[in-house]
Amino acid sequence: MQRIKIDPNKCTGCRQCELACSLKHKENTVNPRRARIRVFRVNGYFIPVIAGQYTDAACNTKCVVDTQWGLIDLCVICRASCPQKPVFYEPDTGFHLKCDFCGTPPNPTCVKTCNSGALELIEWSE
Amino acid sequence: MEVWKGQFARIDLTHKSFKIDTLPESLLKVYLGGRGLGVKLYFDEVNPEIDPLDENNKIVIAAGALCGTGASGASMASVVTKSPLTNTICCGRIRGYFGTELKFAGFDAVIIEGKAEHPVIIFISHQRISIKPALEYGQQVTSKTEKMIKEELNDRWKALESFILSVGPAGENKANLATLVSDGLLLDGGAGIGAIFGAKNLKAIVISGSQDVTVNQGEKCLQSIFTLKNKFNTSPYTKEYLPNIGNGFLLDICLDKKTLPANNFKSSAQKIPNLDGDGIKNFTQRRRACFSCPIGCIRFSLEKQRMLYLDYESMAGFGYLCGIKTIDKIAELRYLCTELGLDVLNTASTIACAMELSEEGILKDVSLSFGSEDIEKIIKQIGKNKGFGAEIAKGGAHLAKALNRPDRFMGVKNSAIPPFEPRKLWGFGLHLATSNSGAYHLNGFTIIEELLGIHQVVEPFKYQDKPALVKQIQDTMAVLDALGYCVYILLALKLNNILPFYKFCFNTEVNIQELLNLGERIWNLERIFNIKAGIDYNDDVLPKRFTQEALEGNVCPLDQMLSVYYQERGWDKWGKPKEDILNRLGLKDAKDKDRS
Repeated sequence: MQRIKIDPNKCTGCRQCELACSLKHKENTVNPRRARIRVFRVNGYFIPVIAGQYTDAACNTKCVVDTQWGLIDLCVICRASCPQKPVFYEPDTGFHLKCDFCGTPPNPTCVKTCNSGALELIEWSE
Repeated sequence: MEVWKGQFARIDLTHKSFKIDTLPESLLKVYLGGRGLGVKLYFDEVNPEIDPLDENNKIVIAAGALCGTGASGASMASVVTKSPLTNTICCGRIRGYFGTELKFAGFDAVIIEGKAEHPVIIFISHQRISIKPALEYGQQVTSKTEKMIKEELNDRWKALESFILSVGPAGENKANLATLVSDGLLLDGGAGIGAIFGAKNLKAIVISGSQDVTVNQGEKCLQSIFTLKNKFNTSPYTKEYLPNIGNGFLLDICLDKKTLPANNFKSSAQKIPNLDGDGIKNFTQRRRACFSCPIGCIRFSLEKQRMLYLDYESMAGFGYLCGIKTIDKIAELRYLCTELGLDVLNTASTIACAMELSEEGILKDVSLSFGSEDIEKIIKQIGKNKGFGAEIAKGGAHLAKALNRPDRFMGVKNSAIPPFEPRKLWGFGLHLATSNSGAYHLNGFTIIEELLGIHQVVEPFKYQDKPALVKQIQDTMAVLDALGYCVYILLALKLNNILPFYKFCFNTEVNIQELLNLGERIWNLERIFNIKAGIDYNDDVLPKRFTQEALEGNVCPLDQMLSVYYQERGWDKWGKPKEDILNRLGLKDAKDKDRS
């Protein structure tokens, strides 16, 4: 099974993945807020987050995770958009966005664009 | 019109009002954006003889034409105004995310005019502009300012997606060496702009946008991004040196070729242990990039949530020109400059000038010598613009002139010479003398040909070849600035490599000569502005040290090159653009303006 491997240690925060994603999914249009991948800056690190399923119930539990990149609010790196997280929806229509791997077989544009090695398509078996 | 937003905002600080106006496509096609559009808008609105700190002076911030299109390496916005340091037109390049966000907010440019009574912050988002009081921000360092603004937004998601351009205490106190900071990154060039922000009582601009930028052939743009990525990965400069060392890789090359000056350009530098490419590589564990840049050359180390940047300017400036020998100290000094909002190059060079004057016994106010560790104190004084700091804050040229030794400041038009040796790099010397914004390297980075020989072989000591080379590179840089490209893309690409992307974006073919003409037009317009401002051929000079004091048998033959350069540009012997060149570039009106 193929997976996108994310390595925040390598991410330079150039956000070209965001631009490429929006170009790929909406014809001729560049807008990071239409992208299904976003890069957030936390504690001086750049952390790419790929859009997952929309959920209409926000979490009750708020937690902070202790990572090698310092303490990070789980909400920031959570892949879902939800009523409390106005990320991963189209700014004009409010339509919720979700990564589709750029089709089958997977051919993610963000991975192809990434030049830092932060995004990688790998074969994954548990 | 899609790539351009076709709009600009005029923000009046005096009346706390704003107005959104359209930009005609005919204007955008000729001046593109960024430095081109900025210079044109500024030229049309401001009397060149204005005192830069006067409230009638304006600031134009313009996003590069290709900002926000995904063009690899194009993210720069330009801040254009008349600098109090040089009294010439000047252009500061905003790195990071600010320029593209301006586009996403729906504007190609912003014009700021008037003067607020109390410190204010401008918030721009989705066509909405508000001006809010910012009294509690007074004298705050830039990192604290950014933090406070993000807290004030009171919305973590908004805070993550807002980008800030702010001025530090140095600018608030109207130090001529002050510049701006965006997202922790100092502007490239544009020393003095900070003081204008201070004079206008403008503390920061916060921007956030969610509009689309539309290109013509998106699929092909995407293919072009992939092609260029491969291209960047074939050049050792963009594949290895810049990502691993940042622009500090130039230190090794300059040390090797003996073009790195030391002690206020008195001699060429001997290598100081650790102050080289490897030193930077070891000190900085991480790197970051500007928007849509596949290179990612900004090296930093994270220390207690502080981002300590190191680059060529700080290493060569504080390290070799001022003689600071430890890399930790240099990183701290650079951090201090970012916090106070001071231009690194000009600050270092001005202190180096003070050090030489003090060693010679001419400067008696302070006791300084090369390598003095207490320059931290002086930088803080510059930030406050008080005491001895006030003397230095006006710039090195002022300091040296006040002591009757103007030749001791290594600068042109009051702006410090970047640490590359003009006696060995003659083309660079010629560029510095003729640069429209005072000595500065990124608007004529001849280093890529003269030192690195990326695209052409240049004979080092053949002065006849230099004027044409300098003109070509100056025009190239002008058009790159207008498009929003960073100069370092030239380490892997030629100008013709960006033509396909240009075509897919704008749906118009363009050739190199046309692009260079656009650059030439910008350069000439800046020149006309400067002439009207009273800066003329008398100011196209280098400090005596480079033209009279030989270094290893070499001086910079500026006079021989200058007359040929004027001819090459179609200027008369007084360095004024002739009628036919103005007609060719369509600048006749500009020159005649105000004549009546």
